[in-house]
Amino acid sequence: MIGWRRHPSWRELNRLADGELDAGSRGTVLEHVAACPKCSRNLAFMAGLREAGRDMRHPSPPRRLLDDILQDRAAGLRAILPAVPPTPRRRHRASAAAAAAIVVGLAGLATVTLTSDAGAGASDLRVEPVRPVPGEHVEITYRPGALLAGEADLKLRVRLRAPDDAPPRGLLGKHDEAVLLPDGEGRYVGRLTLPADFAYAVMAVETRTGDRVDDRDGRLWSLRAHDSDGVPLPGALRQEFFVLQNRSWPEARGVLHEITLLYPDLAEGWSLQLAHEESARMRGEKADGLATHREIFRDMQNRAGEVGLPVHEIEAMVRYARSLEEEQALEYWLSRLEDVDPANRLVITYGVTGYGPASESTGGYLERLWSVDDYRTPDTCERGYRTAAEASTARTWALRCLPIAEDHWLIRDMALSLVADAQTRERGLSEIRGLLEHLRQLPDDERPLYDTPAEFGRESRRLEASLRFLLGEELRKAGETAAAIVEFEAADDLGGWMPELYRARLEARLSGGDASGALPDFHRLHVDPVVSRASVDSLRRRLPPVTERDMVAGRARAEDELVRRLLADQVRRGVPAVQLLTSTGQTRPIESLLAGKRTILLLWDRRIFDSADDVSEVIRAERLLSGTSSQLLWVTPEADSESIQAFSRAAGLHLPAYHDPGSELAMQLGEWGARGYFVIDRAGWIRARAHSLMEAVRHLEALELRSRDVA
Amino acid sequence: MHHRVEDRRESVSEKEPSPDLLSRLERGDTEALRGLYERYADDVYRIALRLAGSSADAYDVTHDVFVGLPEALRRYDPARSFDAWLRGVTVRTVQMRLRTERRRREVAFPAGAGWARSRQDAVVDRITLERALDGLSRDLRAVVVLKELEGLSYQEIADLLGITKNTVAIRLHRARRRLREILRGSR
Repeated sequence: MIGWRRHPSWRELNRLADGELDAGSRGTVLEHVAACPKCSRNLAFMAGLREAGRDMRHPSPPRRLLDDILQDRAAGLRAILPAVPPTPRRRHRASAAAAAAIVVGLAGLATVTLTSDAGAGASDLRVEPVRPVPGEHVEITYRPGALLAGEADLKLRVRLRAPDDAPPRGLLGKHDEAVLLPDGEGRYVGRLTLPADFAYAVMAVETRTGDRVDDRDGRLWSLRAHDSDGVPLPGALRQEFFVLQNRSWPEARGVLHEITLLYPDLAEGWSLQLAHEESARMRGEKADGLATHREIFRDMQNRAGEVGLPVHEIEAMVRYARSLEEEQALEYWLSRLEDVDPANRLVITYGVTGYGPASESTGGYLERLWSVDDYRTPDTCERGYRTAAEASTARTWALRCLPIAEDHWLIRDMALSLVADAQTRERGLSEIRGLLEHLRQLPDDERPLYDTPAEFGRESRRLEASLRFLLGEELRKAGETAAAIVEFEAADDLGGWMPELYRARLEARLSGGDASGALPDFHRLHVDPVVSRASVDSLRRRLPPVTERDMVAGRARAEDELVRRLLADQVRRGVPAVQLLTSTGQTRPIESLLAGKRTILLLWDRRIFDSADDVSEVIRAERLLSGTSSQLLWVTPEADSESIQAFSRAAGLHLPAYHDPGSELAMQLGEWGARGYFVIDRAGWIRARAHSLMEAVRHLEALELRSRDVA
Repeated sequence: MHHRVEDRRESVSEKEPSPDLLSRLERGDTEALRGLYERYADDVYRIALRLAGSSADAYDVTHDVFVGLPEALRRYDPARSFDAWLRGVTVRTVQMRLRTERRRREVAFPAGAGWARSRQDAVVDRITLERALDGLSRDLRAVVVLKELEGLSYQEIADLLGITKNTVAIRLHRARRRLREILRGSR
């Protein structure tokens, strides 16, 4: 009988053959091998290999070698022998002085300036020394603008990133803070100790209670780690790029330019640059750049030794090869990556997408990974669960992975999939309860630098409502109607206008036989400007007959609610008076473009936000607004107006695009590098900042309804 | 299984050079260099040959190691085994040499693994093994040589190559898998 049902892993078998298996496992593995022909054949092969090795000849060096050595030494020849494992030589890293010159030369491109000059109440933050090394104490001097002047003291909030941190998914890094005290000359000073693994930091200043935040018009202040020569460390530039890549195309590109200038031997800079240029190339621009990249790639391959490359450099070569479609090289670099970091995210990813063992299906491949202890990582989990999400094995992955998953979105999805099944429901509910508890008690450390505590609270309530809605949906689909309605009610109580929730609650009430209870949600859907008329008509047919009077009254209540919920925060702010450029380069003041119309101002850099979903949302919004007196206005930091218009035509968009030179409008709105949707009324006041384009359309409707009431 | 390896280590430790010999060598004494060469040249040459796979490279590496030895001794810690230190110097000299060569030519990518159809495993003999080793990449060849032919532990190999024990285990597995494929194909 085979005592151990599972085959030992390849690692256990190798360790057994090499006498490196611990005593605890040895007995079990040996017992299995004795009864398993396959494993015993594997072991015999390894033993045969060793025997053959022992039989190999032991050749002696040629006789003349000693004479050569003695003669060469006598002639003064010396050899420098390696003492430590060699690392790849940098090809021609710029000297400190030259590097400093390059940095100065790039000042226009890179975000190294620490002064805010936008807006009337400009503030200023300085750090001394200006080129700190990791582990150093730095002195902070902050001169407040109108926003924070006169405070007894202030708080500097910092997010710190280490050299190898992955690109941020939400918060920008680990939190730290320092107290800033007045120096008697209108400035505030404080001290910060940079951690030993410091690579890059972003900072904002706020009052002690956080009710007012100076985030430098959304840009934040930034600080890089340098070496003792004052040259930015590669990790600092890498992290700066990660932070900027989703916010500012030209500044992110500037940082990449700096990496490749200062560290031309690092594949990472080149590979990131290529990826960054990808979308430009897809639009038919810069096609000639590929040839240069191929040349650089080949050069890097020729210089890359077999040992000594750090993991992120090998990862960069994998990405570089992938972007250049160098299939053979990709295979080679993936195998090297697997050698040094077997459970690396890229190894797992490419295995799934076809570069793994071809004979196994995706699911089988991930199962195989999971059977090896070293691969039981959050990355394998995420891949395994996402791959299986639509399959029957999703719950198996969720149960496996919940104990080690780190990402809250993944935990949410896995827990919801467990709720869907009666057998695992309790486990899923317990995870959801944990998440809800977390959301309600979010520590201030998790507050984004841009947000006040009140904004942070609103956002966490929004997340809670969304989680309760999703939980209700799973319960409803599982036939747990009563429990689903409880969750829908709880989500609704958290505020906000949520047509998806109204639809789900209506369905739950109908399936529970409570048709009249479903009517209020029907009215809410009826007045929502985004829900289609066909959908409303179809719902109406499933409801009991309603008198015209009741219908009018129900609709009026729903309209009141829409206005109340969407215009809850009474925002009234003037549109900054900036000049925009048309596609032909003509200057237009923004007020002339608003022209007394209700407007959704769309701040959109298509080089960063350019998915098919984004485009279809815009098309949908255009359709919803057609035939009304409202308009969409697209403002972009991109200067290439011709290419923007070409994109617009190709995407089937009709809205004109206007160039915002220097992102002046975005900065004055505190939205630098973000995708913003601003709802502007006829009088030119900004009345809301929406999370999505559809939400902005609903806000317009709320404004329309309110003005009708007033009239 | 490890009996012979242990034997070899004992025999090596017996020939550890005296402090006096090392001290004379450090001062550049030719007779001391000759004495050390006689004790260690075979070991250095063998390791170099197996790692590099070419007698010309092995010749050059052995030459460089002994020419540079008097000066390199300044970095030798007498608390450590001389044998292990010299082995380390040899392995790194081979690696340095191979990398320099690689810079001069295009990187040759190992052919795709390709999953050979299952056949009865070949009986491994030394000639086929010598040929099969040529089919391994430098990294994989290094771990196989140091494990199977030099009888070192995972930790010793890890220290020599500047990689982790875990990486040693993985490379060894990959190397054996690759050898098996090569040996199957050679039948």
